Amino acid sequence: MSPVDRDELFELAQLELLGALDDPDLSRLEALRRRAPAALLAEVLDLQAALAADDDLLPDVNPDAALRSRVLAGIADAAELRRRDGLTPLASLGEVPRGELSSDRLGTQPGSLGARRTRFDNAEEAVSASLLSAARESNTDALVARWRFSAVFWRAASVALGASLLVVMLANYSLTNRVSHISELALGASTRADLVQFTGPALTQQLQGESIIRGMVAPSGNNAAGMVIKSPLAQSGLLVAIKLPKRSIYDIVVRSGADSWTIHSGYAPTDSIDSIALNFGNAVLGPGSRIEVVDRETGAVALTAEI
Amino acid sequence: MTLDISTADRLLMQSVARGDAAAIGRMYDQFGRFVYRQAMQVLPTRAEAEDAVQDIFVQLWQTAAVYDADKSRLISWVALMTRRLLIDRLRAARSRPRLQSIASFDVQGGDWGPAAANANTDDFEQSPLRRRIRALPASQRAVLESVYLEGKSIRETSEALGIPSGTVKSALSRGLETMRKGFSRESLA
Repeated sequence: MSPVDRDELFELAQLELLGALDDPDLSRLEALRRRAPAALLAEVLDLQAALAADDDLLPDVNPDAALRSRVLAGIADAAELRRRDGLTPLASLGEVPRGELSSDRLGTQPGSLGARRTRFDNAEEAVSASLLSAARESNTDALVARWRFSAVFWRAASVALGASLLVVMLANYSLTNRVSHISELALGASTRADLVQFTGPALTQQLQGESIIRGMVAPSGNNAAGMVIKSPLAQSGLLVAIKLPKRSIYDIVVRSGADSWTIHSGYAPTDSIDSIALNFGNAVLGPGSRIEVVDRETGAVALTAEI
Repeated sequence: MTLDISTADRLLMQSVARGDAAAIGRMYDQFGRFVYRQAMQVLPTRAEAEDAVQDIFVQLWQTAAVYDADKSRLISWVALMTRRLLIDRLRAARSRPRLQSIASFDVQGGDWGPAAANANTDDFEQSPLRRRIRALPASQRAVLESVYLEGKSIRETSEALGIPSGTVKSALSRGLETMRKGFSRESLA
């Protein structure tokens, strides 16, 4: 085995930290890492840490003290939704252009910020309560009331209503039924009619139009499957992943010809049936366009579909 | 007993992954300003930077279980997650960071607001970071601005500047090294 090119390893490691590497270079870096001796790897870790911590390369600014409470509240909200729905990671919804955000979004409007500050005077307590409480409330009104104040909810609200309704309806199915039905849809020749039949008449109206619904397959040999739905009205949609290996982190990429867009970075599924709202952003869909769920570490495509 | 960095990083993220509220608070205390500064580096407004910081920490919490201390220091992990999410935001919004932001940090003494957003070109040109970038050879300067400040990938930068990707990589590495050495010399002077 040829020795590792130290200079190349160091160069790519630096560029990785800047988020500048494309897929081929990331694969190359991983290959170099696998072959590098432990001592050299330790040097790489030190190099990256030193570059990351380089104080002089960042502006000398301080966040507002209230941001800490806001961040902890955001995590508390995400944890609460995770606990209630089992539809993780709703907290990691795709990027939403600012113009689409609700004015009630936490901290972006004085009124909402004030309300949240009151609620989270003791941020650790709020987070702890959300994360550690095992009690589940069955009161739908209370749930709705909390969601209305949730930053995460308002991000979800920017997703097409049809997709949101699907999430809620999926949540109401038993795990067995969901696996069975979604697998059929995902692995078979999914059509809008299939989905409407599966989800019932309440969704029929919402899905009228040109919603794109595609089953996703796993070309890399794992047992995962999935389904992607794109709203006809906006660059938003929903991806449902089934049995996607949980120990990996994924990027969701749209490819069209020679162009590609990473529409979500760092997707980490935590359930056998996992869902994530999508924002297709500037991705241009056309004949031959594909959506892929790519394992960030290996570069392998875990799920793919034409869309 | 003092823990080595790797063990401390691992224990912190294990606690975060378990939902330990105190650990999540410590994670913010340790990296909150760091993430915020990165966000302010590339996003055009304070509000957008704060939105990004919140999203980044939710993401850090969600992915804490897969953090591997043998593969990266925690600060590198946080930096990488932060950069990726910020770049996604830049691409999604088709926005470019305003280079004036660098000057604004200096003229406003760390504050950020409408006045800072309108910092004039002279202030911008006199900012330390900009001076360092301006002192670089032209090829390195263009690459550094494209990748470091605008969040473009190697391929995007290569296409935009019309130079091979290998040249982009080497110019970027040399530029970063030069800047870091330059800062070090200046701080010692």
